[in-house]
Amino acid sequence: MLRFILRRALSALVTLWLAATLAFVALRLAPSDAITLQLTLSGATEQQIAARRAALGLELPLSAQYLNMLSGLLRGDLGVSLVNGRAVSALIGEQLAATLSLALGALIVGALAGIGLGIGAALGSRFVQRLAQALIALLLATPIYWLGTLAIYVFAVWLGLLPSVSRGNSLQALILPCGVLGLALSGSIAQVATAALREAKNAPYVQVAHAKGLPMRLIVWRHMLRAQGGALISLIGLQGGFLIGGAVVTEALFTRRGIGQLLLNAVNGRDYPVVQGVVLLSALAYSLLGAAADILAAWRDPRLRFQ
Amino acid sequence: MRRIGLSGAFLALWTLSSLCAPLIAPYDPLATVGEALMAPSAQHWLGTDLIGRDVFSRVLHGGARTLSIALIALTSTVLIGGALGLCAGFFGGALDWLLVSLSDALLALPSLLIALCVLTLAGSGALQIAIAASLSGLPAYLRVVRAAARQVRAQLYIEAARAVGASSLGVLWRHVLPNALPTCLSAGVVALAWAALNAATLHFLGFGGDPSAPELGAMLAEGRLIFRTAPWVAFSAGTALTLFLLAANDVARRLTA
Repeated sequence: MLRFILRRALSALVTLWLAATLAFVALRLAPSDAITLQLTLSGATEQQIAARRAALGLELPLSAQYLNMLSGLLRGDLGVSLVNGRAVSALIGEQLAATLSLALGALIVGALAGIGLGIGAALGSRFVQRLAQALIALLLATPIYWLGTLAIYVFAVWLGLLPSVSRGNSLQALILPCGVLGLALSGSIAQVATAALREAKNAPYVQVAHAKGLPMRLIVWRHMLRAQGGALISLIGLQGGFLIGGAVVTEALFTRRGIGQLLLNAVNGRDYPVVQGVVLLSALAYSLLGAAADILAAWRDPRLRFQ
Repeated sequence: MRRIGLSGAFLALWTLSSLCAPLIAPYDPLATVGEALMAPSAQHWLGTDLIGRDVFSRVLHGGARTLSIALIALTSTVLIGGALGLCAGFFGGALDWLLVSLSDALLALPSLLIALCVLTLAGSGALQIAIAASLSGLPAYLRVVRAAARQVRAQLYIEAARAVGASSLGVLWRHVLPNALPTCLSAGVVALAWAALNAATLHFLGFGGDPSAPELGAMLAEGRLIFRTAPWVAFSAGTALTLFLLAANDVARRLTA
């Protein structure tokens, strides 16, 4: 088990390093960055721009900048914002709680709704199967912001139950954003859950359980979900990337503070260090969530450790 | 053709109406042709928007714009990702390792974030969005094609072709490509849906450049703010987008089945 954990952690680290390098290379190919943009707009001379760039370490050779970034990364230092001069890690830290609670809530909603839909689509009566399949197809084809617009209209405007603008982390403020992001997430989880459960439906152990006369409910919960649990856990872990992308859109939709707003502002202001920081954070979230899910699945099912 | 049935027909219809949008559309999508926020009527099938533009004409032109951006993105994804994926899967070795690790690193980043990085570098606009959408779909497409090529490579007829002295490139072109084509095709339709979704999302977030140009995501962003008084604007754009994605996903599913 320890060997499996180490191997999985190492591969997560390699992915992270590659993502960091990629982000560095991409963002240094930039034609003009925030400082030049800002200072040119405010009418600064070329010397002033050069002085400011030098002060921020942007005039060093690329290899030195790269090493600086990597060593900073190890110390948790992501550089400073080009726009307001504050540390990127502090900027991210301020917004992290809001986005984390959104993502966590959405993950729970998505996993529950996805597995529920999957059970319906694979094992329900003919009518339920059709209905669940149609719902899954619809969920996969509905962009988050369209689903969110409808949800805001129904729950906030029409029924007047929940706020349409989401501030803070109270339960009331979180229900709609988490629900919308979670439902958007549940489509792909449901798709895989359906396939996994369909495959399990004809397996010998399920036939034995049927022959023993177990009720369907017990067969699903005690046998099929347990046997297919590993695949489902790994899949849900893989949704980390989607969650972050989705959180950006969801936060824009509900005008919620969070990493998404920080990122969109940084993209508009061409604030590279902030964009790079958020990119690295999401790569970290993706690798951590993926590794955690794989380790959890291997802990449940020792066979997975040797694949 | 019968296999992809209704969804295929819908996509074809969409393409056709996009091509002839200037001919079919009853009004100029950019001009004020009536009072603001008129409800759907015989004159304006889907009503008018905040400054009195005809929503039906805007949906037609907007759909065409979303589709054309997605197609530009798709072409580059398929050409680059297809070629690299085939080579990686067929030749293996160091090239395969390099491409797989690179696409792994790209896959570790959410596709929306990759797209936003491109927009940070290139600024906003339709062409920039096409590049962004194409790059964010690239790693997934490459991986699918690579897997297909690897599978074909292990077949007996490839060994036979080699045994009779066919060159590597010849085998790649004459045997691997045609046999991997169905996978490339269905993955291509998935990539098209992804590119359209990404393009609309980036427009929704306000990176589309010209704000008056009709595009489904941008129309949704606009219509969302006036949903209470004029739900038809957001509703038309959102429904059109969902129908397109539904049809594309269905075609992709049927092609693999």
